[in-house]
Amino acid sequence: MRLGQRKNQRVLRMVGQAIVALGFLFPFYWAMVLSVAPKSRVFTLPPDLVPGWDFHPWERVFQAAPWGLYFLHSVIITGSTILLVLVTGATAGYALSLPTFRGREMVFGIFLAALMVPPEAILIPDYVVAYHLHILNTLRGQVLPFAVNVFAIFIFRQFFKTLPSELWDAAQLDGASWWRYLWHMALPLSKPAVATVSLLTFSSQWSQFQWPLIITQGQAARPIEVALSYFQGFDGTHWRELAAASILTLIPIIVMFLFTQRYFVVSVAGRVEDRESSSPMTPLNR
Amino acid sequence: MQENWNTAWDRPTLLTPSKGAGRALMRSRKAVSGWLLVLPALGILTLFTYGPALLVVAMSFYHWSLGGFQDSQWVGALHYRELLNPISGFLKSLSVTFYYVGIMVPATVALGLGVAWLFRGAVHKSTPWLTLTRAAVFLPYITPAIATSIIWVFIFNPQFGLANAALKLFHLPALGWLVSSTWALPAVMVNNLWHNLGFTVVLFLAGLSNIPGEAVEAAWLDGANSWQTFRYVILPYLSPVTLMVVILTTIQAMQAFGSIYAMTGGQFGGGGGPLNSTTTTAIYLYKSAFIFFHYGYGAAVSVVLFAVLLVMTIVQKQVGERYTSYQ
Repeated sequence: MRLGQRKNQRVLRMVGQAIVALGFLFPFYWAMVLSVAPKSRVFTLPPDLVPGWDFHPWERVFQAAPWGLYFLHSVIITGSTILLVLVTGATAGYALSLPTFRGREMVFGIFLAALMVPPEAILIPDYVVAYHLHILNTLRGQVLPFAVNVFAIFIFRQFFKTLPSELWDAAQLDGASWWRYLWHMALPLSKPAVATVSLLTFSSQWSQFQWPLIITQGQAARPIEVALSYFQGFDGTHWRELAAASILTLIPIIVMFLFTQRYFVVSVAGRVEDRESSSPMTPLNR
Repeated sequence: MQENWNTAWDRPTLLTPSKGAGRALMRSRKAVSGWLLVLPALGILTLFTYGPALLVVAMSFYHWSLGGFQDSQWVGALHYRELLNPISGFLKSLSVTFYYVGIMVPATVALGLGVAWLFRGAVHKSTPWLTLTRAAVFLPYITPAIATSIIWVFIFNPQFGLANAALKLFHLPALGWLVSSTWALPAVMVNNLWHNLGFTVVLFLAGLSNIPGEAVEAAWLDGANSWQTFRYVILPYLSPVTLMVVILTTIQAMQAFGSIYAMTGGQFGGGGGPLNSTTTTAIYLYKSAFIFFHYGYGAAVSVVLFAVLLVMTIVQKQVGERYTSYQ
């Protein structure tokens, strides 16, 4: 009797989980349906939820804008940001893990202070800086301001601190410099940190919107999300094309997520488990 | 500029020097390399974070021209006086922001906790079913807000959208949503709740899996019913995570931009909804500087936004920590 009740409860919970999960996926599904809907079935009441497999909207989307170019821009921006965040994060994180680095508590404090500044509040002066560096309308203008991430530094510091000190001693006996130790021993052992930093940088950088919106004019350096926003401005009433375009920009990140979702979830969750957690001032980039 | 991944960072732990005797010899050389190693990071942060944080304060006292200080005109506190003038619309933007934050924070905590409770179980080890369903909840969080906000524009279309179709199903009157000054902001809220809830759920899941099983068992043995167990055992254990969620959601909501821009006409003059009903301070700031090109005035808005966020975070931490139980 009790066992039966428990089983019922489990089934009930699974039904609840399925409903919530489908609810969260539903907007994606409807966008997909709209993007392949025959013209006669877009504006109907009640809305049509069955796909019609008409691919004309997709053809028109591909003709409407050089998506390949915008996509390439986004890939270059995201890729080089990840690389730079890894380099600056690993080197600074390594320095902060060195027991012999005098002044590192001060440097740690300086890094912490950076987290107190909300990006929204320095948007305008950052634009002024970018103007004077002549990096408006360039790809590097979308990379440089994000080339350092304090979280990356702390994640690397945390990892390097867990490496046994004998490793460094042995490396020194072999005559290895700190540089060789970092790149050939410490970093390969810190694959989880590299993965976490890469994934988080990928997702925040691919979604970047406000900054590229402000600093790009014309096609020269426009990333795909800004291009999509302009497309919405011109073609706001063409639902099918607009749905197709937004799915187009969603595909890369969804594919990426499918392969890495476990790491994603653990990356976000893992940090809660340190009980001495504080909270940053800086918010999401959206 | 600092990107935030919304993870909590660890507090500076005790930095004790190691005892290795051989290391003393290397000390001076390695101290130099330590500074060398942090130089790239410090340099870029100076250029794009520390410097701008000072510059924004200075800019707010000038009629700023992009040419720099020599081309700009000192106006003293003029911009700040303008902010306080109701005609400027800044105070209205603050009240829109507080309305938005005031709904988003409790809604995120309640729904986040509810959904996490439904999907509870260990974060690291879980069944394929749980992994799959949780991934569905988390997915919107990593998608670019522009792309998904476009979908929500369809959903909230007054004529052919799903939202009104659903209302009709329950025999409720249709709403104007994004073209209504009353309902535009709630529509944005629904989008952002959907978009960001996965993050909160993951935080609460981690919090739930940290609760020791013995604590719950002990409550059961003492004859507590499920509500009492939840209220007096589980909730106190979750209080640190809840505080974190409150602070992070506040910060996030105060600076929401992409979704509001895409949903309420950003492409047409910066957006902000019918009768400025979705003009939050973040949108107001953007429009001041990049639609109307009043950089100095925008800087004053930034300074006030910075101050408001700082005060709110400090108050939340102070009040929160009084009600937070650590074990």
